Amino acid sequence: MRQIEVSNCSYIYQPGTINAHQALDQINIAIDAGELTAVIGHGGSGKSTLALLLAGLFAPSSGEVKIGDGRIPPEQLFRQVGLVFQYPEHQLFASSVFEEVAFGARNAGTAEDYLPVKVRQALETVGLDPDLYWHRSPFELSGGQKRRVCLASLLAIDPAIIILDEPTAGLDAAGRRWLKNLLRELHCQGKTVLWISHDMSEVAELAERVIVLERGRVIADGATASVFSCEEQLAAAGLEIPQSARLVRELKARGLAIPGEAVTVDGAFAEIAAYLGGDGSV
Amino acid sequence: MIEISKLGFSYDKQQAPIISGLDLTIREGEWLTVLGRNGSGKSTLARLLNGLLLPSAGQVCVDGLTTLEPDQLWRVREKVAFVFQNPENQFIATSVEDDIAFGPENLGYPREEIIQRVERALELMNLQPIRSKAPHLLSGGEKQRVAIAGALAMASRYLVLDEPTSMLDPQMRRAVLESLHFLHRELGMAIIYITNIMEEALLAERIIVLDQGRIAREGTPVEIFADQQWLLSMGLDLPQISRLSGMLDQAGYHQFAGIVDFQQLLETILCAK
Repeated sequence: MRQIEVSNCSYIYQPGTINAHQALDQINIAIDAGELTAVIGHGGSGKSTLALLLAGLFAPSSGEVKIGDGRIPPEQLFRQVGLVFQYPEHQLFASSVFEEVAFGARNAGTAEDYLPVKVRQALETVGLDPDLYWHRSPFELSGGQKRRVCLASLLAIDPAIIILDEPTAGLDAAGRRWLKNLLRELHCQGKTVLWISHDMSEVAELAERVIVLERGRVIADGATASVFSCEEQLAAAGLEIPQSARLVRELKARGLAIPGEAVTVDGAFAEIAAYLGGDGSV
Repeated sequence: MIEISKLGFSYDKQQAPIISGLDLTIREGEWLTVLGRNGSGKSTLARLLNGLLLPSAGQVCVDGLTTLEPDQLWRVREKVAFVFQNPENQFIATSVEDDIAFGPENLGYPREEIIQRVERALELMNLQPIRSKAPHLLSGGEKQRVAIAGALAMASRYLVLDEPTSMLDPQMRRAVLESLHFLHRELGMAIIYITNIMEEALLAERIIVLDQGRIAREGTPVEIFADQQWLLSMGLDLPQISRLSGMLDQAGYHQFAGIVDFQQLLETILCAK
């Protein structure tokens, strides 16, 4: 089922002024329900603008963004599309974790006596013990915990589409692992997940599909392995494939009899081990 | 030289200290990377180095000046510059050049000298084309380079960077790292680099791994990344090349043990048969 349809969509910041800047240029993207998609591209390529358009926070300068059947009024869109901004912890405001997480759900019309249930579920999903955190101020939590609170706020609204702008930026290894698992879990629950990332190894590991933006245009869109096989094209867009992917491609280019298609460490290991002889369990 | 002895710090006396009993010497001109999971004390240690935070116990001495003496603290801040994670958080002026001039102006240098210092910093960091732009209109990578230029204009000898690239895309990240290499190699500036990105950790001459406010281990990148199980237990990731060579080692190809360098792994595979 088609869930997001972006047709001929452009977005211009400050149109008609000397600072006018075209962030998106006639973009076409169609995403089905349940897809797990990564959006990559260097700074200024239009990734965050795309996220804002999908969430209905910006209206396209031209073209159309259609969510679901396209009949959701803009002010109701936030129930369907949840957007987690870059560094969402900068926008915390409430005096307790409960109030913070309940805010969106309350605005979405969740009954007051049902809110605690929603908040509890959401906190459990992000791995925060509700009893320990309920009354604490979100401001006194660590960076990683703050980010979990922000994600819980979104999950409490239970949107069908979840968009995240660089959710792993600034997290440590454990935090990144946790977030990757959360994305996987949301995907398994049938959510449509689209996330923006600068971490190519994370994209290689997780994404089913990758959309590459460059100067406001989609320059590649397809299955992860096939997008990462166009190394030159990515390099032109200022992106690098993960080191393990680069390694097997370089080995192949140097004449080694391997497929040279892997994009993850595990995939690269399998290729190299197979070449070295046998199945890797010498 | 930055000499840190028996350093302790806590934000709140009721709670466990963030840093405790930490001894460390940072040599002039070295590139030191600080690793550790969130909450291990990395950022706190960084802020203790130039007196943004003051020790609760022990002391930090920079070229013989201690951060504990208010009249020495300003000299320390001249020597030890700081670049924060979020480039938004460190601008005060309305143009790039004014921002770079802010440090030396505050130190009361004569106008001629300030101009010279700013010109040189703009030139070295390749910022002349955007010298009169407003900082908030710059890209993240440009902002970080302006912050680094500010340190240059102060003639700081030590540059502390707290995850300076975590908000940048790969291209800007490369540009910032190149700027740092230049400062390190050509001007002999010491780089104290905090990061969560393991590929960046490999650039160091020396790595310390913090855990619960103490130095859990120190060594060269090759030494640190040799013990993969231990690194994982410290809550750290492995660089992709390390993971790959570790898996090959475990699969019985012991010639791959401990390789952290892309080229070296490539050559070793090519020569394996």
